[in-house]
Amino acid sequence: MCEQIRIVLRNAGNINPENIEDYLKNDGYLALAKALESTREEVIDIISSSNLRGRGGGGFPTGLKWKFTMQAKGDEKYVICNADEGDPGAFMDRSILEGDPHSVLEGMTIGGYAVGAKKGIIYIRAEYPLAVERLKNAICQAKEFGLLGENILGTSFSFDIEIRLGAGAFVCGEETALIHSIEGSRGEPRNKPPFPSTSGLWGKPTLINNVETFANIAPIILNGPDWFRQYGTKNSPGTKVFALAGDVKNVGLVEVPMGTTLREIIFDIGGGIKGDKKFKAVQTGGPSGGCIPIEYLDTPIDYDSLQNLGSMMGSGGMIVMDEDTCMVDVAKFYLQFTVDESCGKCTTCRIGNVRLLEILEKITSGNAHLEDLERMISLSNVIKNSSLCGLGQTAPNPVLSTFKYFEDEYKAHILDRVCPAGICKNLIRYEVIPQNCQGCTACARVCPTQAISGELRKPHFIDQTKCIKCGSCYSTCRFNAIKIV
Amino acid sequence: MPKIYINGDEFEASENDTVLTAVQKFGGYIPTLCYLNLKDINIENKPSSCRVCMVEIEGRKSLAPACTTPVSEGLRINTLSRQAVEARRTAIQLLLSDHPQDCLQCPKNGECDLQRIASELNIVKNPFMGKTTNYKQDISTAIIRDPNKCIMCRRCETMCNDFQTVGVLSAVERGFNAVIKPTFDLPLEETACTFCGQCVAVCPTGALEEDSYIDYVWKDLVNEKKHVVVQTAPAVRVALAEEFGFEPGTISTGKLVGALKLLGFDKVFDTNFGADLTIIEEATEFKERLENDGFLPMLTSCCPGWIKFLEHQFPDLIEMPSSAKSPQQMFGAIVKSYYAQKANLEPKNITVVSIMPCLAKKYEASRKEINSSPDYKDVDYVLTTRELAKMIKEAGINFTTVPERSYDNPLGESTGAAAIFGRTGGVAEAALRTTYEWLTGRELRTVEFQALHGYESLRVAEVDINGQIIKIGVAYGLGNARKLLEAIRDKKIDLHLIEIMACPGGCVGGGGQPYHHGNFEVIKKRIDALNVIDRTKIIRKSHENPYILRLYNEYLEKPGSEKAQQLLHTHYLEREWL
Amino acid sequence: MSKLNSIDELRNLVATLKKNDSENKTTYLKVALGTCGISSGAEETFNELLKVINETKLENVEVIKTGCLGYCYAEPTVEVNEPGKEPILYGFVTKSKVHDIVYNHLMEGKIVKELIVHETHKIVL
Repeated sequence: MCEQIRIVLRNAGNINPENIEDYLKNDGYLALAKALESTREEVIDIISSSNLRGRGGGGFPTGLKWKFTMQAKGDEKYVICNADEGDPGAFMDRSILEGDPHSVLEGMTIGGYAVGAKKGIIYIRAEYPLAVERLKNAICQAKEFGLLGENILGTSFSFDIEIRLGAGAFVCGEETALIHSIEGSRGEPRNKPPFPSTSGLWGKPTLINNVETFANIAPIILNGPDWFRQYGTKNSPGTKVFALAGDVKNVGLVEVPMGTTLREIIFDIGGGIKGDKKFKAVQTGGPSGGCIPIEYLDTPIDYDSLQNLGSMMGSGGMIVMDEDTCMVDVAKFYLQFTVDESCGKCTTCRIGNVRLLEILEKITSGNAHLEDLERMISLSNVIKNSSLCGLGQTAPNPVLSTFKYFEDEYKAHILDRVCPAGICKNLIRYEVIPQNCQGCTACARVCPTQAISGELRKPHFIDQTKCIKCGSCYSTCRFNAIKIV
Repeated sequence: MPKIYINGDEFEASENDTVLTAVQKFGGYIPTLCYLNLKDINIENKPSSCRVCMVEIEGRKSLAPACTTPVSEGLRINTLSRQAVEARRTAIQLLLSDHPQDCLQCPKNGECDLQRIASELNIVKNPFMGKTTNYKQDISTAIIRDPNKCIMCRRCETMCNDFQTVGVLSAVERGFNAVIKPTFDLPLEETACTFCGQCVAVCPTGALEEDSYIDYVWKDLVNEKKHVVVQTAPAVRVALAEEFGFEPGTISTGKLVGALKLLGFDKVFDTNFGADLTIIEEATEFKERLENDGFLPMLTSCCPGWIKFLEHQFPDLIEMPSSAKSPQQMFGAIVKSYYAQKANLEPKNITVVSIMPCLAKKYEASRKEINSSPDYKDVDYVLTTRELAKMIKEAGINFTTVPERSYDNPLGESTGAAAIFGRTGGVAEAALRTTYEWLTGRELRTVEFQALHGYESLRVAEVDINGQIIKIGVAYGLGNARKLLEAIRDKKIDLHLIEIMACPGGCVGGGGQPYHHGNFEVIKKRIDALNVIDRTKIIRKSHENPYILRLYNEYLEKPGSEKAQQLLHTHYLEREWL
Repeated sequence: MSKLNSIDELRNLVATLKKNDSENKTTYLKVALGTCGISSGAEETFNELLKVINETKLENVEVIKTGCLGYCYAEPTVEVNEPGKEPILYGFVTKSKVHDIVYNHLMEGKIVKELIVHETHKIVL
């Protein structure tokens, strides 16, 4: 039986997040104390040899990032915590901030000490009011205790943290767009290099990590890199928090060591598929990720294995899909999200993704030809290779991965004009099974377009010209008398 | 000095090179669209948004934009990679898929960078057609915005915000709907837009264009009841020929006049006459302010973009500019009064057309308070240099062989001082030539003030007049004007006279000039050409223009007289910054 | 609380807090009040717990709010931590279930089996 291993979520759900003493009695801020007794280089060495990789999605070695920022020349430096969690269905960062805000503050403060920054900023979405409130409260308490502010714990190190609210643009989770947003400019990414570690906020060297990465810092400092490396895999040590959602029984947050298999997460921890339906695919990495089919359920997951499967770790969204899911429709859903959230700066993302979406719409409406698939793949590859930032570069992933693993389903939409999962409205019909129909009139009463007619206690009939395929009759019928064809 | 490899060939690049600049130095070519580099005015627009300059770099997963990728030791660049070329073609096809397909009727036809690159990349069909954006055109007195043609290159935004600090144009909305719009999506007319036209000057497509008055001019030219008089600004004669394939800096005054006569204008006069007149009035005012402890520094007032900038952004300083009208408006006022009287014509039967390097002049002519009578406009229609070229082409005139002709009199004679109005520092220099002689009573032997020459965008010069040091500030670009004005407001700088021109290099770089396509050398050559005109003139001081002297004798009495005040001076308005 | 002026002061404070905690004889009822909990009605559960415990005049029982424990599907969740005993996690504890937990578990020592959530995590710190 697989177990969750909790490092990041060590306190969430156990302590009162509004009381700093609760955090302190769980060894809170002792890592900061230890860091302050070490040199900056020693702190960075610990992080580097822990092999911790950025939990925001890219998986860049955290120690290296810290080192670059420390080495960068600049009269002022900044630490930014990226709390602009925006992936649909992802809520890892929110739970950490709501359940254990001090762990993030402590991680940031250690980061500030290591790179030589005096100022930290938490960039958090305004849609997380509770997290903001608890953070504000935590910052106040930390200041009161002398754990933030001038001369922390009587040392010469000073560090302060302020909160900036994001206005709800998904792209502001991209670090350069996030920095522009803090600076008061349009939240748009820019080409890298230069990376924020050399030229970030206000052009100064800036250390930017996400919430989960910072929450890992204190335990690593306190227990050492060897302790940390005993969890997870060689190239991706430690744990990862996933927001398990979709058609899985036990929806929630799970923290597992890297290298755990998808099967363990979905079936052992997640309890399997809702309604005991068949598993079809799992989507990881949010809109930038891909869909992984049943064949790969036993792959131990880490940054590299997910990438090899055409998906990615992302920030940790994990959406489980059952047999009733249409994979073309899923690709369309994620692409619609990136189309809505594209900043519109670069051509390939601004227009390319819209064209890609149009091809998918053509497929799901039964109007596509086989050449459209070719166009879809070549356009996907250009968008992937040519877009300016991560949002654009990864936007075609849901399309490419669903096509890779579910090509038959795409072809069924095109060649047979059929949606095998019965999802795509243009390709399905609702029909009454006369043998089953009791003539109860329930379906006729809920039909919004009066498409169903029939006498009481006699089989009913659906007028296809009036039907808008809303499915109300299907979900209302208690006699299994309506079928999707 | 990093050693790099371009398509296999070794090349020593410099530290600051990008892949693009290195490949260009190497002699290679990579198409660019959004990229714009005006080194001389410190403007570099490289959002790397168009994704046209993509190249393949060995060892990298994705393609890289050449414009923003720095070189590094051992970098292996493949500009010819099929994958990169296909990516460029797809980017252009995508842009074209959300672009009106009316190239043949587009005012930018033939000058459009998108069109040029599409042709270079052999785009003959487009597999990516789909839904398109649909925005309304915004038509103002000077500029027409057609956001449907916007490709989000951000060049206009850079000019409006970074160079001019006007801050009217910026990107709004996101995703497919992202577009450049004015403040609060107001019509340009209602914003703090100065109509400097620098956005138009750099727009690669037809998204920003001048509001054309060509049709109105044709109508009056064939109307027998109309006496159509045309004036040509100093900067037009050193740029027009570019439209016909001549080298930048070619002086084509004679052909310009010849072509205008062939087009059917009744009289071809010169804005330079108006410029000489402006100097007389402005120098009088300057002398007056200097001698009577008047409001100093005095700011020049001939650039309408700059004046509108001041009205919106520094309303507290609107006493500073000279009240003298610009040469265009003085000329118009004189045509409809003095010339009308002399030629025995009703002012309402005279049409005054100006050929200007400028878009703001279109707006200036429409200012109510600048016109000397409520019954008619002093200047009826303003055409840009580009519009004139279009008329010449439309009429079927072969510019190369047009016989050279001279301006008509009495309003066609001008001095060297007037010629340099078209370049940065020229108005200040012209004013000094006159003020010097008036203040000292001595002849100015060396008429050129070298301190006022040059291409730099912000400079301060000192001139000794009778032992008094006169300090002069010269700036072009409204961002530089802002710096000077803020220094004055904060009393950090002490100046007597300030010349400000909105456009790069002065009027020669105006928003209505032939497109420079990002090459500032073109503007420098036009500046040099104006100096050549100045040097070849026998009379180089405005107050020695015999026709100006006659105008005062016959009509205006003396500089600053009541009549001169009424016809040649104006006032300014406090406006909001929107 | 006055400002901690040295690293030693922090260490002493942490040690004191731990010591007090280990000598504590209070039973804690932890209500997961993250956004997920609140949206499932955990605030009502929290208030009801306070009310019922007040009515029963139980001593040494404290209701505290925590963040999300991760068992979002079972929200609202309440964890019962009795000194010296393994904590018990209850799920789907809507307002109406509060009475059962307080009377059965706290007063009579009988675990409410049908509400137990199977925990799958361990903390390794």
